Amino acid sequence: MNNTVYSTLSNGLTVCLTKKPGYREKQAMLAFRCGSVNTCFEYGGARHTVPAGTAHFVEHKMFEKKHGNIFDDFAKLGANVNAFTGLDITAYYFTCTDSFEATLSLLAQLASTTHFTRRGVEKERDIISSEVTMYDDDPGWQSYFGMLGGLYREHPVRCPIAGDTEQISNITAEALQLFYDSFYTADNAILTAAGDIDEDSFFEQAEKEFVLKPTSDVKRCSSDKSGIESVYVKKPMSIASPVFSIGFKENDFDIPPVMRIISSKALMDIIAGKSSVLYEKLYAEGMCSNPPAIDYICGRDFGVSVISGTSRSPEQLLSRLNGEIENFLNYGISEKNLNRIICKSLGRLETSMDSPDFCCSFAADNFVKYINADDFADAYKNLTTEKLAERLSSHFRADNLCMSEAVPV
Amino acid sequence: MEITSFNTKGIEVCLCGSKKFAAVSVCLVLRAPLRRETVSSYALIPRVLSRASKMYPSLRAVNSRLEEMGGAQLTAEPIKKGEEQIISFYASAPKRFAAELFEFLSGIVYDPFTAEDGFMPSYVRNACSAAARDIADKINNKRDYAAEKMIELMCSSEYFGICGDGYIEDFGDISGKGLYKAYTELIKNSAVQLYITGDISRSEAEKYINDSFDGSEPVTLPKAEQEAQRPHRPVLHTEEAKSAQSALALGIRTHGAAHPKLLVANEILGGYASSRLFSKVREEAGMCYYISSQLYRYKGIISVQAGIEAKNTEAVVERTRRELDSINKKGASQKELRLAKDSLMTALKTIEDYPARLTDFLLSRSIAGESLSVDDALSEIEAVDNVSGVFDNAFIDTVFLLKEGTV
Repeated sequence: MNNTVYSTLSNGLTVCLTKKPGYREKQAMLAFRCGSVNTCFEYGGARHTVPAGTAHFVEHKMFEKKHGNIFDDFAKLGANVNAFTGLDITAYYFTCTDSFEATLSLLAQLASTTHFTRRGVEKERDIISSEVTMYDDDPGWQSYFGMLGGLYREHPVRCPIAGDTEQISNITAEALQLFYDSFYTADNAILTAAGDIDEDSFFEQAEKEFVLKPTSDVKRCSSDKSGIESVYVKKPMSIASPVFSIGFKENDFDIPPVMRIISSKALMDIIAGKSSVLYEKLYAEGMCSNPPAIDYICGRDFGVSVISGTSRSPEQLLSRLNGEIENFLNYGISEKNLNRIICKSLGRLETSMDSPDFCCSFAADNFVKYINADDFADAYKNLTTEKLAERLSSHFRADNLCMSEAVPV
Repeated sequence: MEITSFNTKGIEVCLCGSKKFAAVSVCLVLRAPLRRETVSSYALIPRVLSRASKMYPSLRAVNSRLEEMGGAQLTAEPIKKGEEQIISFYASAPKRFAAELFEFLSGIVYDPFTAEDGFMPSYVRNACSAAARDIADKINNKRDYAAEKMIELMCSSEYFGICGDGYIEDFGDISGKGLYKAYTELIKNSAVQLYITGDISRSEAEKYINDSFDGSEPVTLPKAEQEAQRPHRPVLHTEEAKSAQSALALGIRTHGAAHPKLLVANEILGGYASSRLFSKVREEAGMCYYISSQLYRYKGIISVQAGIEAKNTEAVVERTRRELDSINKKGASQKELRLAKDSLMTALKTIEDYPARLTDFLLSRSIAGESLSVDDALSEIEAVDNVSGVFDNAFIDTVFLLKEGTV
């Protein structure tokens, strides 16, 4: 990306700035390469297992400092601060228009000190429990984690990000500190910013203020049995039509992540996307009223191609999808289809950078996945119908998938 | 960014020119009064039009064309704003496809795929069943469902209570010919506006419009009539669902306060993360996971939404009433006022960085008869120096609870 510059601080923190001249919004994000999947790790010469939901709990409690809630300090500067925990990422970010430097100092404080107390942890438990209860009513979320639980037998990716009520009840202040000490290090983090921001002063301030422990001896452990847990998962809910997630589990981690991402997405686009023959038929038959969403999610040792959406009959949709995969295996993928999808994807990459939001999260997401952002454009240009056909036959297999549904009661 | 407006070919154009964007965004809106007789037909029109045009006569052809224009995106949907039903076509693409994008959009809206003196009957049937399913599926998002249901109940005798997405029971009677007739009426009777954002000069914009659009007669919409308010009688409606949490929506009617003042008061009440409702009901009392309020500006209605346990309904309503009273009688401290204004102003200042949000903002200002200027909106908010008295005569009109249970 032309307007994006990278640097590494003396403590090892990666820093990235996307310059957006003429923008009033300034945004910065500090992201750590750790998330809900990191429940088992070695640190300080011992092996540790923390309850599911620990990474998310840490994220919540980082806002509590000795002097009170740092959230209010951001508000006083007119900035909006927030955070999220994903499967393999924990990120803290803010947006502002003025006072960027002062707000950036707060972000540094937010990440570099902890104040985990027993009382604070107890109080937060209730708030997180009601957050978890809220997810219980979200059919998209339920079908999504139903699918991950179907695909993975032991890997922690099968657990919802915030954990469940029981797991949350086992999280202690000590576990939070252990997690922080293990993962919140400079070599495991990226500071990204986007906006009309001066490059030199930004890097200078980052060097001075983002004081993180350079590194830790943390080793991530996780294992999963091969094969899948279940082909079909169902959850009854108070909804009108079924909400589904179909996942194909990754088995080939020798393929670089960029290639896995773009080949999976291109294939799903061609087979079931907005301009596909299949979607046109499904729409005309009243099987679905919107095109299914497609995504490839991945981390160090997990990966899933996901097709999700709402349908009158996800079972029929799946059988049609499998039929269409069969057709493409038999008849191949046309150059025309591929070129159109490449044109679309490159165009989207270009216009997405208009959004400071996207710039920050794209850089952060690539960092945690060890991806170089520039590789996307090259990988699209090198994509061929042969490569796609190979990926189709090795990855999009019936013995490799799980269909999960939230269904009306 | 320079925002200019001009008229060409009967179309009101608002151009937001800026070199900072790689994409060009074009939004064509057809503004019509929100009426029960036409709402369902009009709601279907964007579905049918974006399905096929004369040039691209199938769903695949339309979507393939979008992909070929650098992954261009088209969102065609009915939007309800106050007592208007706005049929909106929002398209964006990398700048190098600007000319093609205008031509494509014009084809979608003005040159539809037709058969037998009407729209393709099967396309209309598909649109009806897709629309019906999307309406039924609204229950999948309990929070939005409760908020919308509350407004429909509260404003059942007003145009604002009409559901802007149409009614399932109407869809059975709509034919290809019937819908085409509704379409020609919509084109004839609606006010057309075009919002353009991107690295485009006025002369380029005029050229694109002249090359692609035939033009139409300017239309002035009837002024929305403010209907009589119902007497103050708070009503609780309950519906049961199998869910873990209840979704509460309560509607507050306000009277007479100027828009900027109401906007700031709403921000203080529940508009942002340091608001009264958030800090008192969620943080202090721990009665809900989420709570927030939003202002429907054209009606002066504030809607409060919260995820709660049903047993806390009365307590949450009571606390909301208490905060309304407190803001009305004591106003807010200078510090609180500053925070709320800053929160609104930060959001406003960044609006020029996001074309879709900017378009929505300008459209809203246009409907309210205000200047198409972000700076004006900023000064209006800055000028609010106290909020006491803002809720004189305000009252909680309707409470809707989507109740947790095991139905």
